[in-house]
Amino acid sequence: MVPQIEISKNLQKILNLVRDSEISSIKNVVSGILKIINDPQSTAKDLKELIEVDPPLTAQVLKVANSAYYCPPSKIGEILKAILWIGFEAIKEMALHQKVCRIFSDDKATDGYSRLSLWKHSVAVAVMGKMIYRREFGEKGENIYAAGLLHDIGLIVVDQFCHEQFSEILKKSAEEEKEFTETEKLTFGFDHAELGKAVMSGWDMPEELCSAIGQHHNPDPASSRFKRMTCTLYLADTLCQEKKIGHVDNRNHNKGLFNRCMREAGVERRGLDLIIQDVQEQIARMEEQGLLG
Amino acid sequence: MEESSAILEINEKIATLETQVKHLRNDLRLTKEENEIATTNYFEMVSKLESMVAERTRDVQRLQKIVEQKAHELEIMLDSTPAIVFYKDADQRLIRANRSFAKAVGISANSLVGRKYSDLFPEYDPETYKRDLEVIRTGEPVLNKRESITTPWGKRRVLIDKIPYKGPDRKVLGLIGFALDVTDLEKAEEERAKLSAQLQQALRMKSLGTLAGGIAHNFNNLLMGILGNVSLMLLDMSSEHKHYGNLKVIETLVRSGSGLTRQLLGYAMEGKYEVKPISLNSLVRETAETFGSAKKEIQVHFQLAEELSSVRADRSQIEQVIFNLYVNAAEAMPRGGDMYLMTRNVDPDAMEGKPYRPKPGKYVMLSVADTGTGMDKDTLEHVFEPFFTTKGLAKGTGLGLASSYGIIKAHGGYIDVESEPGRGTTFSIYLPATQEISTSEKKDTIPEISTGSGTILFVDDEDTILVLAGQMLNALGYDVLQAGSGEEALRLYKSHQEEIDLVILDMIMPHLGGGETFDRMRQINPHVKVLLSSGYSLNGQAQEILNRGCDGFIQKPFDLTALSGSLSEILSPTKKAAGF
Repeated sequence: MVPQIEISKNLQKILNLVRDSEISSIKNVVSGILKIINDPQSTAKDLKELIEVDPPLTAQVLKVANSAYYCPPSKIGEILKAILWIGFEAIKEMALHQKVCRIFSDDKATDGYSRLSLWKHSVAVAVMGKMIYRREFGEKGENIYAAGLLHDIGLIVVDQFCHEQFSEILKKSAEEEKEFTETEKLTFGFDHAELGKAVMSGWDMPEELCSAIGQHHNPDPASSRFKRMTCTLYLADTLCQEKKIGHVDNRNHNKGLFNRCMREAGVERRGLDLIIQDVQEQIARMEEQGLLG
Repeated sequence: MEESSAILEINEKIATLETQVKHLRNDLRLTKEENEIATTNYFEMVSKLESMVAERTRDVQRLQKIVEQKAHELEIMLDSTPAIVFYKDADQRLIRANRSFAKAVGISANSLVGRKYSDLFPEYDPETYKRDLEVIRTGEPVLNKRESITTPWGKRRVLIDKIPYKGPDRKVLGLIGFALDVTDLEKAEEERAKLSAQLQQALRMKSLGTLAGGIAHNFNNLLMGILGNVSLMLLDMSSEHKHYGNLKVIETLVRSGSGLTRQLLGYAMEGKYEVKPISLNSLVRETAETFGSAKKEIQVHFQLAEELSSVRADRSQIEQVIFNLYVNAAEAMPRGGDMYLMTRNVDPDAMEGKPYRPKPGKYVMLSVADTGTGMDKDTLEHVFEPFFTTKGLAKGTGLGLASSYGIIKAHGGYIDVESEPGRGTTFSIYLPATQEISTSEKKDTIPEISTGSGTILFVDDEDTILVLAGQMLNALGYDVLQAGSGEEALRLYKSHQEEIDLVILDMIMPHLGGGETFDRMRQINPHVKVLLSSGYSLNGQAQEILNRGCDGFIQKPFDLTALSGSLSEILSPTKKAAGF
């Protein structure tokens, strides 16, 4: 076991590294988009201003807005027009998507893990989470979309700053058929979920989102306030892995935990089955359109 | 079992369908909400865009208005200036011209645009055109050039600035011109130069006149001494006396000397003793008769106007002028010739182009034209100056024309001359016409020396004159009191006013002059009789004193005859009346 003081020290060290790294460059825009998402008073203008101060993001958003996926009648040259054409809601997601996507680039495949596959997985979980929120709960589920996109940010961090250990953990967990998070805990004293939560808290993200990310492999202890999102994230994560959409880090499906989570979230398996089909279709479509490259 | 499994299966299907329905319903509601938000956003944005467009439109309209206003102001400015302002391109094509330009060429401003400069000014000076091209080529302005342009209103002179018009890349696109019409200015400048030359001439004449007057004054006093003494000597001398003849010769010489000073005074514009309405026609006839009989080789032709106005003038002075002109004509025709005498009523318009500017009013003109040798330009310029003569010193005094000039000036008239070598000379004099009718004049009867009686106070600052006058007055039978100054005269008059019948008062004296002395005497006795005397002739000052009530004027030098005449005119007026 890693001593508690060592764990805190390691965590702090890694957090410091993250703070000074490329990863943090997306912090302002991502938290800005989430603020807009969570503020009912916010308007398309706020979003437009947020995107426009970030020229690479603006270019990305316009590129996607002009892609075959959205198929505008004439070329869109302004964010405002993109918002009008694609819709306020969709643009929020797209901007988030484009921004977060940046930290999943710089791909180096290691033993069945690649950032690209992790990105595909993250998008699938985000889409799935959102669909569950919309269809099952009748809610917009914007935070769950962000949570889906960012839930494995801890993996990115570990991969980037503790690459050798990360490779070892990957190998070990495959050989010993152990839970990946367990191996992580043995190595660092914390898993990538907890690390992700720590990073997100540092980014001033909504508490619910931080909590859900932190518990996405272990939703049982989640506080009742955040239970539904935590469980939803867990269910989406698990199902996407089950269907092998993108990266897989959890081979052992804990049936009891899964059923508990369905109960907690108030969803049934058949609903999830319906949803996962749509997720698969959408991911396939996005891949086809090159939106996941 | 089978049945129940079928039911289960159906139930499962129903549940799935219900779930799908739930999913669809939720999704639909959210999508609807999102669409509503999107629509709201959309309309908000559209209305925002619309208000932005409206604001922009207003801005544009405001700016447009400002631009129009500025353009209008500029146009007003350009159109208000009397200067001609234009802009033409490098091909000499007019792009813009102001109202003054349009006026100058007589074409409306609108139809000027695009016209070739060479169409507008067909007689455009090639030198000027070259200068335009130079400005366009070098980009250097040409300033303050005088040029001529031909307009429908004749040739105009302009003072022009040519400034290259440069585009943003400093390339010369055309030429901006600012031109001022200086035709009138140039005319005025010429006029001024002419006037200034005239003024200079007048000033020279005047200073010469002052000089001549001064000489004449002193000379007259000398002559007075000589003549008086000779008169006194002759009075007691029988014609058999061996010196009688010599004295007579002296008397004659002094008289002709006095004639000279009279001419000098005439030139000095002093004179005009007796101004009366006279007829130039009769004067011309009389003088021409006298002159013609002396110069038989000259044919005199009269071209006299029938209803000629009279002029107010001193008959003898004008006579002198006319004689001078005759003499001049005769001398130009040593072998004889024709002399044309013409009189006419004229107004100043007829005197256009003369070297002077006549005052308004009617004039009477007399011209004396000869067919003689004529004069060159140089001679003409100096012809009225005193002591200027072409005849050589032996022949002439050089005072004839000068005194004529002075006399005519003193009469408020003008005299001029036209001549060319070999084509004769014409002198013209212009005297102000008067409505008064000339009285027929006869020459004064030859006066005789008449004696008288009474006491005379003689005032003069010159001792020789005092002594002489005393003797002369005594000889004429008068008692004499003498005063050498105005102050002394007043003292004497105060104490002897009862006995003094008349005062002979010199006009020019130091300290208390004749005029002042006269006024003070009148304070003592308002009816005091005063005869004013002066070596100067009757000028403005003397005339003024006469106007104040002085009884007469006698010009020095005077002899016994003149003195006795003047005295008896004042002291026994009946005799004077009988003289006419």
